[in-house]
Amino acid sequence: MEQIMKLFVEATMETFTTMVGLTPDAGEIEDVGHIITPSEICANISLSGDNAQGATTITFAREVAIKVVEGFMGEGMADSDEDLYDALGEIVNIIGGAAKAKLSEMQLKLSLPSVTGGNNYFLSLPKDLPIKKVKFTLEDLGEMNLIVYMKHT
Amino acid sequence: MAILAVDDSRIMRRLISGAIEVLGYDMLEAGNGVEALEVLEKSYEEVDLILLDWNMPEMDGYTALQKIKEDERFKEIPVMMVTTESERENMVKAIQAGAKNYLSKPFTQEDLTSKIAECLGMGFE
Repeated sequence: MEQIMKLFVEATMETFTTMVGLTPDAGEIEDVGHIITPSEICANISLSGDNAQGATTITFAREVAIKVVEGFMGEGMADSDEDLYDALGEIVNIIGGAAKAKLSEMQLKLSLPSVTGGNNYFLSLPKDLPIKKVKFTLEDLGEMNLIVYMKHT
Repeated sequence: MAILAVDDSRIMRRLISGAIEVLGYDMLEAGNGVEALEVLEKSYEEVDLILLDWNMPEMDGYTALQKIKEDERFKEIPVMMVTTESERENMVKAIQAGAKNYLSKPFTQEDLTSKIAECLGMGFE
């Protein structure tokens, strides 16, 4: 799982460097429990195959998410929640796709992305899967968490 | 003179529109394969290139590609896949189904513009 997480970190770095125009600084890989209290916005995509299942989620404070989307699209583009969530869904889709390519031997398929926003909610993730987290510092924009859980049989 | 951009993300279509404008083309758009075929039914004579995402609701890009290449009216329109599906196996599958080119996400705006120009037989620096 540690190796899989490293590939997701690489995929995240590539996505942000190429499409958002910034170089994130990745923290250490941490183990986390199955109950997560995310930042205000989280974007999620599932990856599944015959011998593996899992997902990746990126979480941000709203003001950080807006700045990330402005980097992705240009200033003033995230002017509605619909656009903001659409763009974050696309970013996690690209991270998931880049990670899937690095894990090509698993023959994973990507779901369509989903995005959740709000305050005071939690995510209850599968109890039987190892869950890893890496905190990224996004230059001067703020922080983002990358959460990955995956089982490979 | 138009390019049909097919992607379920409206924001991604907006990003693609920047490259299309630079090249002096108009953009038609669709949010999935079904909508793409509807746009082609009405406007195929003005479409010079189709940019096709792979993972979309209702009808995915690969299925849409097969339908486009089966239709006598649409089959000569070049198609470029613009997608997160970057494994070699999928690239080969799309090229065998008739796609002219393939661009994996993530990409820079310059990558996108030059790949579109290449598909259209235009020089682009």
